[in-house]
Amino acid sequence: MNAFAELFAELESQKNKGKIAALVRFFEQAEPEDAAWALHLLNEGKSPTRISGARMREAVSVSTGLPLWLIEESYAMVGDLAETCALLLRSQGQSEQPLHHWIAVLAELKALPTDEQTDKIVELWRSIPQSQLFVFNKLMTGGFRVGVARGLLSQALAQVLERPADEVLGHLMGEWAPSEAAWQALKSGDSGYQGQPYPFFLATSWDGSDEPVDHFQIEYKLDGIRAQLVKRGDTLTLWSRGEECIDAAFPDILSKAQSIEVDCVIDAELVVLQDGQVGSFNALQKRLGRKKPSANIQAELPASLVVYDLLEENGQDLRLQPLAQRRRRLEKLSHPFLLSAVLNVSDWDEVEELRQNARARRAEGVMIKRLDSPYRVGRKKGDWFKFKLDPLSLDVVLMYGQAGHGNRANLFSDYTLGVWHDDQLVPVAKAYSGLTRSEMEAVDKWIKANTLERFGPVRQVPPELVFELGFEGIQESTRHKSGIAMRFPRILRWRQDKPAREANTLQDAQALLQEYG
Amino acid sequence: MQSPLIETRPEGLYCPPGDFYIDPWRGVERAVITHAHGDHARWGSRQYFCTASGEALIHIRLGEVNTQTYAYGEVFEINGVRVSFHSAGHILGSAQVRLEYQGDVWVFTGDYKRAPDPSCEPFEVVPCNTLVTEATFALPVYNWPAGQTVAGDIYRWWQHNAELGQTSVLLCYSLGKTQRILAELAAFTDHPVHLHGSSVKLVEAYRQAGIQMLPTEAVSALSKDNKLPQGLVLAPPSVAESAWLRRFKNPSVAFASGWMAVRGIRKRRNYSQGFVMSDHADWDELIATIRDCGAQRVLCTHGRSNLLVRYLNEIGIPAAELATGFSSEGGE
Repeated sequence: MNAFAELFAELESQKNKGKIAALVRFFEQAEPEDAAWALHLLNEGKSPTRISGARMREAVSVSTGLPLWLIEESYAMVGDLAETCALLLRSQGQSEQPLHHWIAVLAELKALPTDEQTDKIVELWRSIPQSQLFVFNKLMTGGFRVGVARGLLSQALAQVLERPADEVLGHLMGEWAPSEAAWQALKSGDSGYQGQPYPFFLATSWDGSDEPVDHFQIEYKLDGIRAQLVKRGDTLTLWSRGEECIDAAFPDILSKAQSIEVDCVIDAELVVLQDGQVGSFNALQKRLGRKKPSANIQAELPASLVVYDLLEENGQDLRLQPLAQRRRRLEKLSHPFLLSAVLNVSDWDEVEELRQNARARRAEGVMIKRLDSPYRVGRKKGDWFKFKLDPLSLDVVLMYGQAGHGNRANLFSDYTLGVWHDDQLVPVAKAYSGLTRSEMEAVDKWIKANTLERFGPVRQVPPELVFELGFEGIQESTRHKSGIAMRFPRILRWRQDKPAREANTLQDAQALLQEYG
Repeated sequence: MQSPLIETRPEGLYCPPGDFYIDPWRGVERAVITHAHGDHARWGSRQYFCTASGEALIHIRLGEVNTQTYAYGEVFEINGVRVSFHSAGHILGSAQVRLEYQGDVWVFTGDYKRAPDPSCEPFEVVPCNTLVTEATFALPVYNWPAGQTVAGDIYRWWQHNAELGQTSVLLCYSLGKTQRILAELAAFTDHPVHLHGSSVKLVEAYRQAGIQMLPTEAVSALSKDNKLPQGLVLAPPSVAESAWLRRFKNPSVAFASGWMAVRGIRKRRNYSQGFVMSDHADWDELIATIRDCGAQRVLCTHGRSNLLVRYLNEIGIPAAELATGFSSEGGE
């Protein structure tokens, strides 16, 4: 596993060119099964076996003789449990085994009764060299995020496999099971699997254009989730943007899709229908929470697609054809779903008008797509744009701070924010982002200097800092004290001009709930 | 219990029977100084007591102050308190201060480390009743790799950048870390290293004291067009975001500090590389030192002292915090 640990370190410290070089070096030298697993881990961002944090803490305590509270304090400082454990351990281990060996060992560990897991972890930690413990622990904690974009990974693989990056990427989409055979299949270009989706083309934010509006196709930006429906022969499968196969969660969509006769790949928005119309995101969320929905739920909240692009038809990849042409083919295709409406506009003012009225149409803005655009890979600027509604917003007061994780370790960057109710603050949201780095550091310093009380990793502060909080939606919630839950809350700016007592009230929030909930 | 030999006063750590201060943060009559770092040696006192090997550095830092110097282990008396300096292994001339009065012995460690360092005298264990210890890195996640190992990593990083035609800029404190790196690197090469202006005089003082280091040249002595594409430059962390870095060829910037042990901090500061090298005791060294000196009681200063105090009490060593004005970054 040494080579993989070194790769991990290089991916963290090198810039893009160095990352690709490190990946190429690794994949050229790795044995096939290790190459397959490394690819899987880097691509999925998670490992197959997850051992509970409590088990790991207990094992560290046994290994080091340190009390649990000190392990917790260490974790609060480091911000990553896998790293904390690696830093606390003092291994003299010499065992050098390939990556796939350790993955198999972890699967065995997971199968043990929990009371035997701790001792086994302690034993494993003794055999693994100190320099590999961090990566090993990452395999154990499950989360495997490392700074390597899929684009970089596919470029490196294209070099190693001597095949086009795009094609390699196509094979990685979907559920790719790592094994020696899978790696060999990738090398030979024959994966045998029919259901791969294409990499999604993602829009960038609109910032205006001098071009005439008739160079573009305008549609509503629906408030659902992005999905691709793949039908090739007998294979029929549905993918989310996260490249998760979501067949089990949406059997109603698949059964509808049975009626499609030609082989095709369709890009669409997955929504819930209410009275035959696109329903709210809140309604969709109830479906998203269920991995296997009951018949009742399916009847109450039927899921469907609003289709907007055709990527493949009868085995022919259409992605390089202009959008206008793909759209014509899509309109002719026979399918049981709604078609995303193309909005007629004569100038940019009308586009702006549509955007502002989008909320009434259950949309979160408009999409602006160049008529001659190909279907690209990933988020590329210049062809597809999203022009979103201004978010809803409230001025809120900082109540608690908590240290973040990863590169925000030991930085108080996670905030609990509240609005006034009489003379008390009621928490309405937690927010993690939106401030610049220097603002974040200034707030961190302020929190450390103004802590009233500590509750484990959380620090209470006096009501002084005001932030403008933006969010995409608001809904009633019985789980929150305020009775309100926000969708995608984030800090828009730090209102250093505003005294805390002038921040918004719970009544203001309830008024938004009445209007938009 | 006997009355304390060290307590905190607004001016700094004070020895009541001896009527003197140790590393005071304001000007006082008599200041016993452990070492020349800015948060320990401050300007404005009338009389400074320091080690013979540390004197030159204190003069560079504080100018012409009135110093009285002693060899390690040499005992002198201030108002009946027997005082002696003992090597702390932190930087050249750094000392622990041993105080003996009416049979009671206290030791103030100042900043210290136990690991070998070719640029300064090695740490000495000093038995005592009460130990006043630093606690800059008092968490068990801090566990330093050997200096030679890290120096090897630094050397390979420098060579790698040189092959790519990039200047290697290593951020490190001007006093102590810079000289330690120059001394450690001498095991790998005899190439000259370039210095930011802040460390030039200090490196010279180390050379005068007989410390073997790589040859050095000031960056300011180079012509403007020499962008040092193969060079290694040592500079203080304050240049990290400054325009000064632009005079080099596509510089690769790294930081050498104990804080670099934590990945999140490394990533947040956005250095291409972090080298874990500290002149403070790590957790194992702190605990070992507390046990080795046989103290019945421990007082902890700066850094994460509350955690160390709680831990020591749990393992049966009475401990308490002692508030001080020393930097919690510990000059790292």
